[in-house]
Amino acid sequence: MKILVINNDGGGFADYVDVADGTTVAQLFERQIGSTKPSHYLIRVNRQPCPADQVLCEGDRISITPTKIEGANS
Amino acid sequence: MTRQQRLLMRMAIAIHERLHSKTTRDKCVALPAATWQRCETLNRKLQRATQRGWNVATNRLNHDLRLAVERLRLEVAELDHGLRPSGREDRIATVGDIYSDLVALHDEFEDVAFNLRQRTLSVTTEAIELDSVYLGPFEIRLDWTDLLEGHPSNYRVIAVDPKPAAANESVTHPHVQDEAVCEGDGHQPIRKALERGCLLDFFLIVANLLRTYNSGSPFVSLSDWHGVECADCGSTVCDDERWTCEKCETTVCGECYYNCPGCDGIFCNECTTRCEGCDDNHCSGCMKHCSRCDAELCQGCLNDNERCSDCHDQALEEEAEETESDGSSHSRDDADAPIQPHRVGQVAVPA
Repeated sequence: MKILVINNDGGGFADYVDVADGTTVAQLFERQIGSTKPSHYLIRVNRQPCPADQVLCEGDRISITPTKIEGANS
Repeated sequence: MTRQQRLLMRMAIAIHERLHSKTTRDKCVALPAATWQRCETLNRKLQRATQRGWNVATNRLNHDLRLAVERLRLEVAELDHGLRPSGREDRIATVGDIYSDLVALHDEFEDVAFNLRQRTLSVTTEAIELDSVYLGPFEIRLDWTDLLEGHPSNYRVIAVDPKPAAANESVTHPHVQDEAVCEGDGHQPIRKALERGCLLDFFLIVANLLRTYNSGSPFVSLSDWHGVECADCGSTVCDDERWTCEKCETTVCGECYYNCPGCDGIFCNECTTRCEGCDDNHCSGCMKHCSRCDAELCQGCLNDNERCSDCHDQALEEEAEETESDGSSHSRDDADAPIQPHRVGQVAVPA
């Protein structure tokens, strides 16, 4: 099934991704971000907070936004 | 549909129109008319040359026409590519997406405000405190007139309860000056979110940026937020009145810094010494010791023999005394001298 993943880490890319039926939010996070702690990110499914074991559905919109984003001075 | 929902829908439609009109404008591309015209001209010439049996001209025109058609083919391919729906447009938010973002903003932020006429949308963060420094809440105000190309000047971060840095009133957050955020790592995701019309993502990214302190690159560091103390008088020093000692690198205020007359350097009181000759404070590099009395003096107060004026005077007096005493001893010697001494230069010459 196809879902929309918006990764606001680094480049801020948005892509439609094919995932297997039954994929959970935690599994998708690991696939997209890797071993970084999920607590360092705001993860929203269809703009709502979600549990790690929530199973994704066709057409879901998942956004992953780091909680720590470093600004600069120039 | 409630009144609030209707307002949000009108807002979503208006924002979507702004996004969509921009992408439609981008699609107005030029047709390859000039190249087509050249193909027609070459074709006419080729027909004429063929009819008249000009073989050399026919071969050259045939070659030129092939090149022109090849160029036309490339330009048409480019035009075709430009007119196809791009990946970017595919991901530009729909009215429904924007509406859902506007609804979700109310779940993420306590205070959400919008003004259709002024084309602004703003959220207010909770009171932000970084490293125990209270900075207060911030309003993130987005002007959605030009989301695609307005970044980064199309949004402002306004301190609701300003607690600016003591050294600079325009800095209300370590990464905000004059209501503009220096985005650092957030630059690319913020730009992408605005290009796509992902308003919820935009506000979440900016809010998270405000909740983060990058000690490596602030406008004013949090450790200096409440001001830097003058090392000499202890008063709080603002940026315009701040001087750094070139020797020990402490901060001193405009009243306490010394400008060394010898080297023109800036120094604190601790790193200067008062010259006993002129009473001006000099840095250690510009001070010397009198070669006789060891007093500390600046170069300007030492004479050519590296002596202070007292020692110089004293030395002159001593020299004068010596000369005087030498003179009197000479006069005693002269008493035994012949009354008519040999003339200077007279030498006894053997016969």
